[in-house]
Amino acid sequence: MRVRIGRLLGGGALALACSAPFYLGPFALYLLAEILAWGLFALAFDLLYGYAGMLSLGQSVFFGVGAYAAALGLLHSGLGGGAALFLALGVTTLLSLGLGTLLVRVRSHGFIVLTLALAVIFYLAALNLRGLTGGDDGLSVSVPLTPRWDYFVNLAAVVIVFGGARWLVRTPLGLALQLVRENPRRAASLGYGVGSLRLLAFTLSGLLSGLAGVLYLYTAQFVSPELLDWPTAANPLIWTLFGGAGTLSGPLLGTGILLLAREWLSSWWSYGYPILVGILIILVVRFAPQGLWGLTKRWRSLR
Amino acid sequence: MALLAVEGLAKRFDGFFALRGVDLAVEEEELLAVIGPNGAGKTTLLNLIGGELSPTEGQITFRGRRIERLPVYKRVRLGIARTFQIANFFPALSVNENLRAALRRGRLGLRWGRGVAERVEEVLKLVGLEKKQDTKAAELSHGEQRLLELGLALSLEPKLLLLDEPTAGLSLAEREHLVELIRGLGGMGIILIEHDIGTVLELAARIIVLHRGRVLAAGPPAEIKGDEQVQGIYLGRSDAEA
Repeated sequence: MRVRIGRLLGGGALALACSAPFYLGPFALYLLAEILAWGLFALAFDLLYGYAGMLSLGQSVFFGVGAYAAALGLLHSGLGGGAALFLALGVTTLLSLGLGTLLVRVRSHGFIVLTLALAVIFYLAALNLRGLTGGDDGLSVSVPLTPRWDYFVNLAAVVIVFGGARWLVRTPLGLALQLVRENPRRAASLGYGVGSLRLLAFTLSGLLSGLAGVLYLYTAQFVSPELLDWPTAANPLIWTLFGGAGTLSGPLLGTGILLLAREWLSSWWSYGYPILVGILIILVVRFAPQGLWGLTKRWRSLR
Repeated sequence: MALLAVEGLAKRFDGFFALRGVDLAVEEEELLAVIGPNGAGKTTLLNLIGGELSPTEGQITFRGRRIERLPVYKRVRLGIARTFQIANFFPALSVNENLRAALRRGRLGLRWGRGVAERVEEVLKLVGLEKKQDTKAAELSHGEQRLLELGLALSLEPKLLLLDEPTAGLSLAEREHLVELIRGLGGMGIILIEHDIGTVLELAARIIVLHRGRVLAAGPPAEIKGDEQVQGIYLGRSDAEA
């Protein structure tokens, strides 16, 4: 029964998402495309935090570097959208591998603080390297994608990554990541190299965050240093906790609801949004500590 | 050649020796029990052999290979498995997932491979948790948790099994079940740390008595039972407690 309801919900959401371009205007479509890019970012975060148990406040670095790498590829190297995408993925993978090698040795609080510091460093660097990043002004690009196609590209990416992630977490590798979250010492005593697993999770999450950054760039056609700063990295944490960590569906749900809520609320009370979202989050954390998706799970298992 | 040989092993914590000058050997298929009062260094000894700690001095040879500087997971892959005094598993995962993880012994990969489901069944049957395989590990009773703990270690198909007080906190019936289970284990050497002298005398081929980090006596159960020094500092007191 549980499986059927889950599939029904998923199938319904997918059908709705696929048909959206045929009844929504360009602005709504743009908004949804952007939400999809952020949703992908939240998925990347959930793999790292919800599965491997590593709380990073620096994933914005990979999101932002991905966006910047693609923008620079488009502007200065005359690359097409596809080539710029692959360039950006290569850069973020190498970057997350390199930074991860240094960072994964540090556990718990140290890891949070170091990733946060990393985000601030990258933000300040981007702000000051005006020649490369455009400083405060950011960089504008033009991507030859119609809003409808851009939406479909983002949707396809989210569907593929979501499907891949759901498959991955059930493989021996995916289970191993959860061992590291649950009890790293015991994982080692079962023969698992905890350090390399943490590095793998970090690199994978970095790569996917970079992909999300590129998709965001192609949708917004603009990139600025704020994307690298830590508040950008705190967003997927909030969305993930709101929707339910370690569930993959939850973070997508959380991103969708909170970003739509922001859009709707900010149109009639522009300053109130953070306060209202804050209240909403406190309510969810108080009454549904497993997030919204956890709540539906509980409801489904009661039936 | 012994399965495991420990020579001159010492571990110092902040200026005091938890273990000093310890020599011991375990043969293939032998069950060696290590006893001693609290603080004698028993768990430190297991941590040194398993790799949670590295020794201040001395060497550990496992199947002809020096291992005292290898990390835990590499020793596990060579064939050393252990259980912990305090049940130590993956609480949010099911019993089945816990065992699957152990059966892979750190091999990652994207496919489970043939026979994993069957092997899980075998281990479940061996330790008697068939009906609990979909239960979250955190929801098991204390006795079941001890069984899962042993199941995890056995899933690794060890050549050397380190058991750290496996019967602690068990009821009499549960203890008997576990003793039978340990007695039936073949194909591996075992080092057993145990407070319950009855269990030790029932199971061990040889006993080593640790006292203040040193080996006080070593020999077959009958000999240890008769050793006056041992009786004075350990057996007598433990019997009185029991």
